[in-house]
Amino acid sequence: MSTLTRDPLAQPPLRRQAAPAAGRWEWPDPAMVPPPVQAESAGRRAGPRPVLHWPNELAAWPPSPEVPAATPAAPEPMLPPEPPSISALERGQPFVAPPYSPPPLHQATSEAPRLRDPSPSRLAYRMHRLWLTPVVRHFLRLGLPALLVLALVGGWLANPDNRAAFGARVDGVVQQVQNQPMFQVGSIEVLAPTPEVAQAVEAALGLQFPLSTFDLDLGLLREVAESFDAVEHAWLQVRSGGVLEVRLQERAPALVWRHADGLDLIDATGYRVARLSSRAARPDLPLIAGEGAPLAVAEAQLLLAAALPIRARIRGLVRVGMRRWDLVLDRDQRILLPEHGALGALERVLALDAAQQLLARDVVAIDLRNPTRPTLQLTPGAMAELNRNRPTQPGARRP
Amino acid sequence: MTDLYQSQRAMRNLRRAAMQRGVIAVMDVGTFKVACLILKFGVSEGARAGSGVGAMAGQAAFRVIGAGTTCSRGVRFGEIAAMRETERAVRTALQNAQKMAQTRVDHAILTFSGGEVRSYGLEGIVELDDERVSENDIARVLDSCDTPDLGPGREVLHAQPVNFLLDHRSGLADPRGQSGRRLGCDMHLVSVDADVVQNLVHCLKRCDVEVAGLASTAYVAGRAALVEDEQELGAAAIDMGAGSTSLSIFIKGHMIFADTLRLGGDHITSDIAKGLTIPYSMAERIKTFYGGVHATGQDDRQMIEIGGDSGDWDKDRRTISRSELIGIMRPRVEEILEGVRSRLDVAGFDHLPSQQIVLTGGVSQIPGLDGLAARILGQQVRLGRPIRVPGLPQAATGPDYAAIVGLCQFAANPQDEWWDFDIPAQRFATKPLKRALKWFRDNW
Repeated sequence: MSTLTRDPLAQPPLRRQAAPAAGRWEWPDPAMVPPPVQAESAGRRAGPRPVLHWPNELAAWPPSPEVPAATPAAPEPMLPPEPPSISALERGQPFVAPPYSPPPLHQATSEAPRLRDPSPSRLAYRMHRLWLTPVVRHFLRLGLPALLVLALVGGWLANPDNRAAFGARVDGVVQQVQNQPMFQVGSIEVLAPTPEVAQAVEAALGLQFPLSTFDLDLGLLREVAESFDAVEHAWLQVRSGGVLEVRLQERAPALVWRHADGLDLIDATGYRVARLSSRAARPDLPLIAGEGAPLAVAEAQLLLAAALPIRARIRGLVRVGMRRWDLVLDRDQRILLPEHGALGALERVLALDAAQQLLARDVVAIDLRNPTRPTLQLTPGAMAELNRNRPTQPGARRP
Repeated sequence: MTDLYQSQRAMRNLRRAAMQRGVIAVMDVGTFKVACLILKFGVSEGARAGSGVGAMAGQAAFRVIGAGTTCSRGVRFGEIAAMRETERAVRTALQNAQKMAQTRVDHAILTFSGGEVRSYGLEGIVELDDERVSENDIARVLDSCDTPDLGPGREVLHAQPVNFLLDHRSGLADPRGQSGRRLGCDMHLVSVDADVVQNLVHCLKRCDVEVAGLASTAYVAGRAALVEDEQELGAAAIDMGAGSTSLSIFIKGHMIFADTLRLGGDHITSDIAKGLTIPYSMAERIKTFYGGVHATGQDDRQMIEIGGDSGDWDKDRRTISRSELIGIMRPRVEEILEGVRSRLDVAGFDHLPSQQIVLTGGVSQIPGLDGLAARILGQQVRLGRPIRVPGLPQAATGPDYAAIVGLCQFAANPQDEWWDFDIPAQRFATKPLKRALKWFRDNW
């Protein structure tokens, strides 16, 4: 066993120094040229096996328990553990085996890990196969986490206190966001041609400021604003600076309608605009009367436009029986227009008037209801005068 | 015989179902390694132009999506010697392949070299009922082949019709629809030891995989290693495995002889281990790294370290020259090749028109083997590698994977076997109505 022990204080291996002569170039370089080959020196040398020297690593081995600590042997001349080169062998230097460290057999039983069986256990194999089954795999990767999350959330929400706390928290966050200054509306500005309409709409909207834009339902507010008869359209907009701007387009009154309950302003489509206290308040607008008159506003306007030559004499249009128009003039004159072709009939009357001043005569009514049989109704005085001038005897009048 | 017929038909149905599902495993349970490939059917759009994959045998229909190979355990001579160990190895290979394919497989086609394959040539002849050969006539003529006495505990592994005769004409591949009076057929039947098969099936069943087909290594290695013209003109494929050496003779596209020699690379390894008294793993290592069969002068100088871990310096520092190693290996290789020669002689290989011999399998990778084989087997010897199939890993393209690559082909393009035809009508009493009708037709 003495070969196992070695001198730990051994000198580091001596290395052959290829002394480069500084500044002197010699060719061929003696370090690069192998020495001449001697006869019978190739290969491994015959003779006794060379002395082997263990590498340094073995010095740290714990000695086997049964081996007594050997006394250090007398220091031997150590040869450098240099791998044998061909040139070294050929020069006849003794063969030295390369460093070789046998596996530490003594430690194998205690510390070295045992060789693991590469084969999977039956259970591991089955689990792997199960994992590769698509249904199981999808369930485990998607279904199970989703179920777990659902169960956790559901379980937490099952407690009413938790639910209430959660709701309160959500509400708090919502409030906090909605009450930010950039979402605050501080005032309202109603833009309308008529200040009365503007005031009425503002009162009807009934908004208490300040409030948040999230609390404003502009669609609903617009419906409220447009519920006024006088308002045709309403545009609502929250302007920068927290101003709710309401822009109103009012209906333009085109006619005055006198009915049983009083006077109403109506627009060109026949829609009621507002109540009128007295006819004198809007003398510029023509008057229509009668039940169902607003439904025929378009025809009325046509008739009024056609009657421009006698405009100064017109008192108004009367709807008779929800069917036809009467044009009423001053001096209690009345033109009874037919249900169909009223405009043509009126133009006939106007033509007669232009040619023969029909309307300037003592006529109470011009009845054109039957276009083939126009009829004039005279005043009683005119009728008497006509009768007086009528010849009493039949036959041609004598000159 | 009928229960085997039924079991083979059941396996065929399993195979068909697995292919419809698209994934099937092929396994080679060998003595040295257990390899498993997972095939996916209906995915490959065919070989790329210039990839070197030919249009042979329709392998474009599938693609290898998973491969697993592990060191075999508990298998000797291609037969299971330790069931649990083999099961572990099979499990490892299957799991690796499944992990690579990211699919689970439930059906596997199996190849094995054990079970003392024996080969029989059968012939049968029948008179035709109609004037044309129908499918039923083929089934009848296959059924009329008189089965030899296979011996106790032996079963049919392959029963392939290789030739049909119609009246005086022979060499018909497909006589259906042809007119004639007498139909004959030659059938090649391969029998194996039933217990070996049962062990393998049981082993796979313990791994939760059903066996959907069985094939002899001799047959599938021949299909992979022989090119088409060799299969047509006549050639012998020798699959030199670790536990056994399988040989098969092909002619006209059909296997006509199969045999197994229970000698292989393991014996070379054990020779080295015993001769040099080194561990088996070290013997395997130096065999694969430094092995050869022709020693040269250079080999005398090439020293091989055959270490050990005995702790004895003299033992652990031994070196041998490569020529010593070759000196150990060569007699065993010669013995294997001479065994092959004698089997080929028995089979009458000398009388074939073409005497091409293709060496494949792991042992065929020994350098210089083709030269040695040419001396023993004849001049027309080449080393065969399996054909390329799409998706096969580079590591599995060597000659040691010839059997499993052939099994891929077998799975994609199975050869017609006896059980692929329906049972003839008159064989069973299950169809009495048909028989009564036939009697009426014949007699009225």
